[in-house]
Amino acid sequence: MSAHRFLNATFTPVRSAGRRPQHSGRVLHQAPLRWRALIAALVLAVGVPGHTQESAPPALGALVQALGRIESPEAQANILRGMNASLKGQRGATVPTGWPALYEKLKASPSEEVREQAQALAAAFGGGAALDGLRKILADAHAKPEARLAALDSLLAAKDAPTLPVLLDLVKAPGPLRVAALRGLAAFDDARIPAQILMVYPTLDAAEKQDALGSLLARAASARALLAAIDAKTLDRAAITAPLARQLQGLRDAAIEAWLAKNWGAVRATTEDTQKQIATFKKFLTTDSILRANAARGRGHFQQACALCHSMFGEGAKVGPDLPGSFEDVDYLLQNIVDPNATIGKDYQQAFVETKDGRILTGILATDDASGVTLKTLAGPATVPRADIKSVEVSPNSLMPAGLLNALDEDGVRDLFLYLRQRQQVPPPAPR
Amino acid sequence: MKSTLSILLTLASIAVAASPLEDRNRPVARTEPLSAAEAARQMKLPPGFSAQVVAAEPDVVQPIAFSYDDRGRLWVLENTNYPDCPGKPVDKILILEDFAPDGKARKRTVFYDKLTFASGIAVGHGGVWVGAPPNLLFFPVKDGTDQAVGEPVVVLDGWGNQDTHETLNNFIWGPDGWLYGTQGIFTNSNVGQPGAPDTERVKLNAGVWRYHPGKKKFELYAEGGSNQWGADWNDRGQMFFAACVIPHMWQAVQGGRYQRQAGQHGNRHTYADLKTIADFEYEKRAYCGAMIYLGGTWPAEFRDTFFCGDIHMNKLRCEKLVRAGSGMKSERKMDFLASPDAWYRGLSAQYGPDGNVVINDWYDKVPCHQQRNFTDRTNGRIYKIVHEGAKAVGVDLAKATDAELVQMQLHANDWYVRHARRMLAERGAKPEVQAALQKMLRENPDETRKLRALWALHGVGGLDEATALETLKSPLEYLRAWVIQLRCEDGTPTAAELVEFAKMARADASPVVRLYLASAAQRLPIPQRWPILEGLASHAEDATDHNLPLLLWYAAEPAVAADPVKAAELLANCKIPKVQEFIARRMAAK
Repeated sequence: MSAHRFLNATFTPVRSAGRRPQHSGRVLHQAPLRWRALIAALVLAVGVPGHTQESAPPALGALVQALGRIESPEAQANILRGMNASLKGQRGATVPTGWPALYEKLKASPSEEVREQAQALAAAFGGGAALDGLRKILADAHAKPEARLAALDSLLAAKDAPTLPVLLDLVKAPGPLRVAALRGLAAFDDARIPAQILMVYPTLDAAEKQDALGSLLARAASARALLAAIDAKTLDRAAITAPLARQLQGLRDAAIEAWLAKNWGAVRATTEDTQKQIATFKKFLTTDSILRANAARGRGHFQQACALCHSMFGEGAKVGPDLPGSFEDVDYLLQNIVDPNATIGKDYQQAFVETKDGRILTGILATDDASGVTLKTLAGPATVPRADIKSVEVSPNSLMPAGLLNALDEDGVRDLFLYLRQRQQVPPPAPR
Repeated sequence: MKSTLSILLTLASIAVAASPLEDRNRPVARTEPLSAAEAARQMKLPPGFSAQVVAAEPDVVQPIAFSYDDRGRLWVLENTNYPDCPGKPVDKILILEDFAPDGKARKRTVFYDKLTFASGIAVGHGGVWVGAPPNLLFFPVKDGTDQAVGEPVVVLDGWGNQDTHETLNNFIWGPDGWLYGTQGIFTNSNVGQPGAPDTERVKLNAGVWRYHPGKKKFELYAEGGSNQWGADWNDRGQMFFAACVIPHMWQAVQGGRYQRQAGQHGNRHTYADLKTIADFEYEKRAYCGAMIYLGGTWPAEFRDTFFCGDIHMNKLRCEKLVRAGSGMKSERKMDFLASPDAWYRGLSAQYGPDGNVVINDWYDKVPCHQQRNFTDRTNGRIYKIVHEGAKAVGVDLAKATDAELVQMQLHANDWYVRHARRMLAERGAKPEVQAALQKMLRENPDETRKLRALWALHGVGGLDEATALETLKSPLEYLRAWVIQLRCEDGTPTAAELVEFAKMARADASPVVRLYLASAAQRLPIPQRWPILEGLASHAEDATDHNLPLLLWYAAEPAVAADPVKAAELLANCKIPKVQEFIARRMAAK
């Protein structure tokens, strides 16, 4: 097998930041996949009072007035849900006339959903009292995990500094908020973060490790700490999979690039190179040898290499297209895996969003409009308000990295290809 | 010894008979190709059916699409360039005719032999329409001959070719006189008349499109999906398409936005999109062609059922369409055709003048264009699936009088209905034709026949306001629905019609009619939409309908954005939770 290769993405500046007065950067986080459905109805956005420079959308006043005249809790919940879906990520929205009085009424609603949605909206419209309430919920070990997650989302949206020590504490032990806390740390720029993450890293399960790595890769400083840990052999180099290597590259830090050049090879693969690679793979990927491989282990490789973006048999993320399984054509698979930039790219071009406080988000542009940018990232959708964006760049290359198979040995590739051939889920791999 | 041998032989024959079709693992053929006659002989078909060979290599190679003309002849589009686009100008358009009793075409004419990559063909309106990215071409044909008048005209350009297994395809004349087609999702088109600026073009990746040859107008009829290749209408004008990779079966509602295999909807306030109408799936994920059988001569169980080709599994699937709320659900019926020959790649099934079904077979070892190393560009077949009860017929509709074409609107075989309808439109507006169709619309008791009269009447410019207002009172729901669609085709219904639409939006008992009102509302100027939106939003019973909440939302969205006061009123009175939520979401959005 050839040395690790890594496609050098080139960057095309697309747009610089908006011209509005500067806010400090802020990124909204989402709870992990398995909770996302639960909290979908609870997603909050918290405003920081006094920071707003923008006027409310003209329709917001009419909307609040209409809501004030509606008495059905079901209808109130529908409307609040819709409002929160839009105001999520819009920190410091102007308080529409009539909202404070309406909030008093909704807060006392017999419907739990109305109360929760109203609280989220109150936070979005700005209010120190709302933030206090959210911090209490987050810290309350007896509160429902969904409510705590929702509170965390709002606090992260507000870049609420007092939340950081709570998160550092939450990542220490297993619990329903550990994943969200690991992800949430990416919103803060603080030297305690890489130290804490690297300390707990060995105790994390596989999924949590991905989130931990994701947060370390959010900023150059913490990413350098991660690479130092790898150099010091306290962390296995295999943790840096192809998609993560690609994310590292997005940080555009000289030390990190040097590390990548040493450990991954920084040469951009030419068409000839990829054709050579494909030929090399084909030599050991005969159908017979694939059919004798181990599909369960292949499922494990899929989870490592593919499931960050693709789902198959209902398992995995939805950043890239869903895979139906049944991939029996080795040439087709090789063409698409070894050289993902050769065929279909446009809808899956890698985009980088840099925030004004130095965080880099990597993913696919889901929406890009006046209010901000939403990326489909490996950790789920992430919305950055326009005011927090320093730059948005779209790489001409696919988000799918080219070196995916290089992390596997020959048996591993055959296992993966056998798994991709399946038509239905196979048992998970036996623990090593 | 002898008995042992016979047991062995029996076992062997069982193994041979059972294995190919039950091998679920058969995208790439592992067997040698068969002769066309042998492939036809081996096809598994229901009792009473058999397969004939109309043409095969070397007379036809890589037949990617075909179209019947008004004489029942087949215009076959070859594509040996596939998957290279545009490739070289070497591909042919063939005319096959003079069919022997065994189905074989005894006459083959090369109409054109300088085509680059092309993927769609239709005959009508004085010539041949061919989709050859980046162009939609029109070849005018000299009357009474098979000769093109000069070089083809570029009617539309800007068609993408990024993913050549989903370029513009499946050309088919709609009941409303438009030429319809599909296109897939990884092909990015920006369609307009040659020279048109960007502002006059339509962006398209994945959807059902249509072009009107008279109005010279191009539209996206429905958007989203994946790599669709085929769409057709049932007896009541409900349109369906099949797609690949994502779930396979879809009802195409005008203005609908469908689940996308990739990318985002053009309108970022779409919020939710339409899902499949099938609750089952097949082994593989690649389908081609769409036919709803209305040929009239096959057994009744097949009428109004949906057929599509399953490329990987070498089958022609058959599904039953069942009413569900404003739309239809698809249920698995049977594998109508199963080829033990794994090279069979049936693309498009179309019934002809005798009610039998012709299928073009790409005939290839591999099903996918990314396997180009193994493809074979020297073969292809045209088969005809014949029912014992269906007799071959000779036909030349050009000789039919106007009155005969009108009468053909009542034919049991929709092939005549469709060809005659288009020809009546080609012959132009004539008072006696309009009167005859008016009479049919009023007097025929059957909803499907009334619909045919309505569509033909629209084609000859005879669907006037008075007829429309009268027909809107019909107790037949699909008829009312289609009047709405046709009268809103240009977005300019009359004031009296708008009043009627508003009443119907509130009070019509049919969810189908309400769905057509929602589709039509998207085509109206915003001030005219409000009464319809308000009426539709009052139907709490539509909250769980497959189509209605979303189609209502798509029509409401620009109105909500434009007028917060009216929007707040709609919000307060809305009885459909999803729409209520979306209105609030839109009003709170920047």
